[in-house]
Amino acid sequence: MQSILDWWNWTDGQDHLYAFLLVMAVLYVLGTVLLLGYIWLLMLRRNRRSAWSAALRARLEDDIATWMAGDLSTWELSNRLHVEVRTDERARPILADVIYATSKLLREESQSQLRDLFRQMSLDQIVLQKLKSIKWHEQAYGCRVAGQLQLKEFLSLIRARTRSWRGVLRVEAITALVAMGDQSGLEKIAEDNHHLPDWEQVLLLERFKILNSHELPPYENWLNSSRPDWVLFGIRLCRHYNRFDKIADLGPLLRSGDSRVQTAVLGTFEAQGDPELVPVLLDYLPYATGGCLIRTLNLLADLMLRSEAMPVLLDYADHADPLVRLTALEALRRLGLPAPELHLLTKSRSDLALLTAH
Amino acid sequence: MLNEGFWYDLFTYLFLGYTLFLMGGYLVSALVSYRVIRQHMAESSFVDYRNILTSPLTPKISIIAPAYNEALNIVDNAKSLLSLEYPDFEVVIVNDGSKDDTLQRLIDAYRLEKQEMAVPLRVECREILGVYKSTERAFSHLTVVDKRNGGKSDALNAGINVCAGRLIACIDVDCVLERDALLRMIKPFLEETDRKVIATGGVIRLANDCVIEDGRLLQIRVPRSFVAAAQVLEYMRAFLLSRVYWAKVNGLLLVSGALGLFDKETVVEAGGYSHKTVGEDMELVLRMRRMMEERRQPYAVRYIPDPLCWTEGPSKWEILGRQRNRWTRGMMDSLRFHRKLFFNPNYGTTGMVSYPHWFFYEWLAPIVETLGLAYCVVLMLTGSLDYGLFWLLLLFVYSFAVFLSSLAIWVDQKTYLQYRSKRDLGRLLVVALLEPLVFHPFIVYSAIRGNIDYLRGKKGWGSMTRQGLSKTQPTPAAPTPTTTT
Repeated sequence: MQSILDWWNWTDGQDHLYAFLLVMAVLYVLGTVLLLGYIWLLMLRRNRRSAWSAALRARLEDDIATWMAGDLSTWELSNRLHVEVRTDERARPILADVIYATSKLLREESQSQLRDLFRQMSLDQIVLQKLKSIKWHEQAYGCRVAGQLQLKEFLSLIRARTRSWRGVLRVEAITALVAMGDQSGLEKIAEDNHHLPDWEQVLLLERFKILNSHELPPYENWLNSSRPDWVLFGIRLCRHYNRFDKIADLGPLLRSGDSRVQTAVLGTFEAQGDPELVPVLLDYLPYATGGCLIRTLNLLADLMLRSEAMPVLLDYADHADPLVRLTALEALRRLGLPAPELHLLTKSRSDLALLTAH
Repeated sequence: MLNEGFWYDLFTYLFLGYTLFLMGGYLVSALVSYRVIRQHMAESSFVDYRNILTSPLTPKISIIAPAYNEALNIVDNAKSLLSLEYPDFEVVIVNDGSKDDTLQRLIDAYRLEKQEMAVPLRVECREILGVYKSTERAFSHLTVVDKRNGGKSDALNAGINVCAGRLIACIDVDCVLERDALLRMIKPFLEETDRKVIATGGVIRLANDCVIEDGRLLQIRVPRSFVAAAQVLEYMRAFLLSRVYWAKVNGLLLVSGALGLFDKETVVEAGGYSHKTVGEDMELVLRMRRMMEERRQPYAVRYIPDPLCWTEGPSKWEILGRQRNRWTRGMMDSLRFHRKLFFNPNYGTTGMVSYPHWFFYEWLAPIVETLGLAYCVVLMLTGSLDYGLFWLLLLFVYSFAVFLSSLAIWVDQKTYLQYRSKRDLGRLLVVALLEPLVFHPFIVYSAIRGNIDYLRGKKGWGSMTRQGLSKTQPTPAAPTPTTTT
């Protein structure tokens, strides 16, 4: 106490400032030394750790491959794996990861043996720990492994993860539910989640493609959802699974008022390219704006007969938006409107530069 | 009448307060940035970006690359851009009235033909002389625009008029982009549901002395030249410890001209790039933000902390000085054009935090630093300098500068691990020790010159010669991957 008081007296007045600056400088120097020391340790540990884990992975992969080829009994494999795990407890998550990675290479029918091995080695406890972890990335990893290895005992935990605000975790949980064919869980997702951003939709569609699951997600329910994001996802899934029988029914969604939904419907129409869609598009045309209007005009130019399309497009050849006008003119050019007439339509506008090929 | 001691104390504590506030800001932003980067890396580890390559849901991107007298490398540069990985993109190279045979080389290499077409003039640019497309299917996503010379902004505007993408990536043609740069940069645009993402920036790193082959970065090295190596450290501090933070609080004002992805409609509505400044990148972002704030439309400017773009930095003092002079003038233009934002609550974070930060700590910092030194000299001459305090202050500032550089190196080691070899780390450490004594004073000097030139009405870029990036074979030892995610 006395020394603190002495120090305080010493720092009185201008000395306060001296002491402060000195302490701060010393702290910075110490901080620098600590950071550099830590970097040095990181370098050493990184090399050792990566060499150890690479060697262990190689051993485990070899053992599992030999077992799958039938040259090693399950009992022998189990013994070897137990030895690895007993020697170093850090081997357990690596073993879980190796089994998970191996199962991705196999067809669904061949995975039961791996699943049994996984449980036999009590690795499902690691999945449980991950799913219950407070760290979202551990939960996501747990969902991923549980989904891949069809560990259905964790379904309730995975369902809870679909309500996370963290997009990546939600994607992993939904993918796991689709992989396990949990239709009832999937049906509830739209009720629990207001949003499903485009980024997650992109990721989910690609995951579904890789899963190649027999049981389709309940996209028809999502089409009727009150949440635009889920309607959008339903439309995209319709296209993704080539459900052309459903696409014609999407027409009313063009009046949804959400431009993203309208764009997605137009995208499916473009993919289908059916002339039967023309009346739906003509109905929608007066209400279409911006990018949707441009896509509608292009679609009509492609799907309608030349003689019917020309008057529709000519109406838009003098539109206030230069991009809409340009689309109409391009479409008219494609349909064979003579160059002089096209030039006449373009010439009067100062917001279009007409470039010649010569 | 106030005595001499009062003024001495006032100045001392004002300078000290300013410095402490700046240091505190740096430390807070460094801590937040580190956390954000770790989260971003954890998220990225669950995403295989190559799977997105087949997705029909990704919006079309137009890469706009202005080229002026780039005949020597233009064919290789175009090839590098064409080989980027993305489902739907086009490369628009704008020949800005080059005096050499830039255009002819492109025509010959990619069998280009002039097109007959109408171009909507949505943003201001000089006369477009022709638009060329390749007759070969392999290069169908290459468009070359030939126009009268009008500068970088003008060329970018011409590209905006011609391109068809919903998003535009404005880049420097001689940059080396990571193959998956677009796949990574698209994420923020698709992620937001409540706000419109108007722009996304990416980390720029220096490629001096790195090994590049066929437009791909094969080996990363710390440059041998001190000037370039100091910039490596400077870029690490700026991109890893600062911009990530500003994006997190949605206050990012600068998306580097070397690589930025923008929402095209917002750029067009804001009027495109300005012809009135040499700091067109910052000015555009400020103008877009201002427009969104005035419309009361929720928006965000986001940032990807992955190293996505490699560029050549000046390796000579003279060229570095010109570059920093231009940056200062560009910043002053942007701050002057949009002075209405200064502490204006109607402009939210932009007006109340970002703009004042740029004013006080980006523009004013070199001036305050110079004034501080001048004050010390005056005190020295009048014999009233407290040498003890003077040296302590220097030690305090110097130790902080070294600490911050060490923090940047540490963050790099804990995250992207770009510099792995002991030699590179040793070199970075030596540079960190020398940089505050040699490099930083020169940067301050260049900024002061920029201020003086600005007041004298100087315009233009000044010549910026480049030595060219290393294209030699890599040495067999320690090849370094470009990203670790």
